[in-house]
Amino acid sequence: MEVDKGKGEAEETRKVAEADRDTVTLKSSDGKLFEVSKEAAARLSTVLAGMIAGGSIDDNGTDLKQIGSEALENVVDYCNKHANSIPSAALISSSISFNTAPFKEPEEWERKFVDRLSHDALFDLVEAANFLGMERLLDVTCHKISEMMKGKSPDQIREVFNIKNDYTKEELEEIRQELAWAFYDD
Amino acid sequence: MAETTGPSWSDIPVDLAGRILRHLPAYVYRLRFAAVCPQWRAAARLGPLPPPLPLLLLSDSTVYSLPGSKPSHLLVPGCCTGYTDVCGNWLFFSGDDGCFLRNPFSNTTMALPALSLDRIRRLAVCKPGAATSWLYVSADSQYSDFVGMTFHQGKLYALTSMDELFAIEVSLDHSTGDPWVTQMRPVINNPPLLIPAEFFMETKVTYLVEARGALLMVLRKMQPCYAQGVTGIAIFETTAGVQNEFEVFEANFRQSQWTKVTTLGDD
Repeated sequence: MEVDKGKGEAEETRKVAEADRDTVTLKSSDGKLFEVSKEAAARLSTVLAGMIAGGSIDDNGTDLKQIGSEALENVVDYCNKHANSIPSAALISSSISFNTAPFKEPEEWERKFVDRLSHDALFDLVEAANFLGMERLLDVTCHKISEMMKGKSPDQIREVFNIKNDYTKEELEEIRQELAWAFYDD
Repeated sequence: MAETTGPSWSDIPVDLAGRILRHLPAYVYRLRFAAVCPQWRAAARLGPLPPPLPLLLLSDSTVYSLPGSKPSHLLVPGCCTGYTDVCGNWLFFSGDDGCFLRNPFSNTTMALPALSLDRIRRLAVCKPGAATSWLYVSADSQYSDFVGMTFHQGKLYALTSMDELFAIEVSLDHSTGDPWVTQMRPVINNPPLLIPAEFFMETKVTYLVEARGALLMVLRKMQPCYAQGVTGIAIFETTAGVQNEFEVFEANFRQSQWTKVTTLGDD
C-alpha cells in the first residue's frame, strides 16, 4: 500500500492500520455501520470474499443497499460468532442417515442463533444470506424454516407463516387429490 | 395509518424455496409445502430436488414414511387400497372386470386387459395402452411361485417365495410390437433362510422394490394379518394391534446374495 509521506505520523499510522485491519465495515440500507471479522466474512460469504479480494471494500462502510440494519446486524453477529467457534465433530462428519443433502446439522449455537429470531427477522436474514452468498447461514436458516413446517398441515403452515390461501378452484381440486398422501397424524 | 406488514413468506424467491425443500426430504412434507400457496407450488415443481425419501404403502393404505417409523393412514384411502402388486410408483389392481395400473402420485390410471385365471404359473406380459390381451409364457416348473416383480435398470426381476431372484429379459417382437420374454435366469439361488425357526408362527411377507438405484427385498415380519404390496422401504414399527417389523436387503449381483442394508444410496 502506498503511503503518503507528506502527511504527519499519526495520519500515516492510521492508514497503515486500515490496510491491515482485521475487520471490515458494512453499511445497511438505512445507513447503520457494522464491523465484522474480515476473515470470517471472507470465509462465510462468497460475495464479501469477492469484494475483499477485489479491493472494493470501503473503509468508511461498504454499502449493502439490499440489506436492512436488523438483518445486517444478524449477519455480522453470525459471522463474528462463527469466527470464535471451533468446528465440532458435527460439522466435520454427519451421522444422519437418510439425509438427502450433504447438510451438516446446525451446531448448538447456530440453533440458538436462529431460534431467537422472529419470523420476519428470519425471513430478512434468509434473504440477506442469499444475497451475500452465505452457504452455511442459508442452510442453517432454511433448516430452521423446514423444521417449522414438519408435521403440519398446509392450513397450519399458512397460519405459521401468515400466508393467504389464494388458489383457484381448479388448483384446489388438484391439490385435494394429491393430498391423499398428506396424512396429518404424524 | 397503514397496517404494518412484515415480508410476505409467499413471495420467497424460488431458489430459497428450493433450499427449504431440500430440508424436507419426506414425500408428504413436500406435498404439503406445495399445497400452501401457488408460489410455493410453482417453486416445488421447478426442482431439481434430490429424490424424496421412500414411502412404504401396504395394501390396507397404511403408510410408512421416512424419516420416522410410525405408521400413518392415507387421508383418501380409496385411491390405493386393495392393490395386488406394485412396480415403482405404479400399483397393479386385478379384478373380475379387468386389470388396471394406477399411479397414485400423478393420479393417473391405465387400463389393462383382464387376466385369465386358468393360466396360473404363467408369466403374462402386455404393453399398457396397446394390448388387448396378455401374452402368456410358460414358467419353468422348477421355479417357486413369484411373490414380487419389479423393473431395475431396464430389466425385469422376479422374487420367489424362497427369496430367490430371477432376471427376466423382455424384448419387443419386431413384427407385432408385442413384448416377449426372451430369457429367464437365476441371479440369487438358494439363499439362506431369513426367518429363523422361532418366527415360523408369524407371517412373513417379502416385497421386491427398487429405491434409489438399488434393487431391494423388503422382509416384513408380522403377527398374522393380511396385506401385500409395498413401494419404497421402511423400518421397524408397531401398528394398532399388529406388530410389523421390517428388514431390508439389497441384491448383491456380484456375490449372488442378499446383503442387509440400513441406509440407502449415499446417505
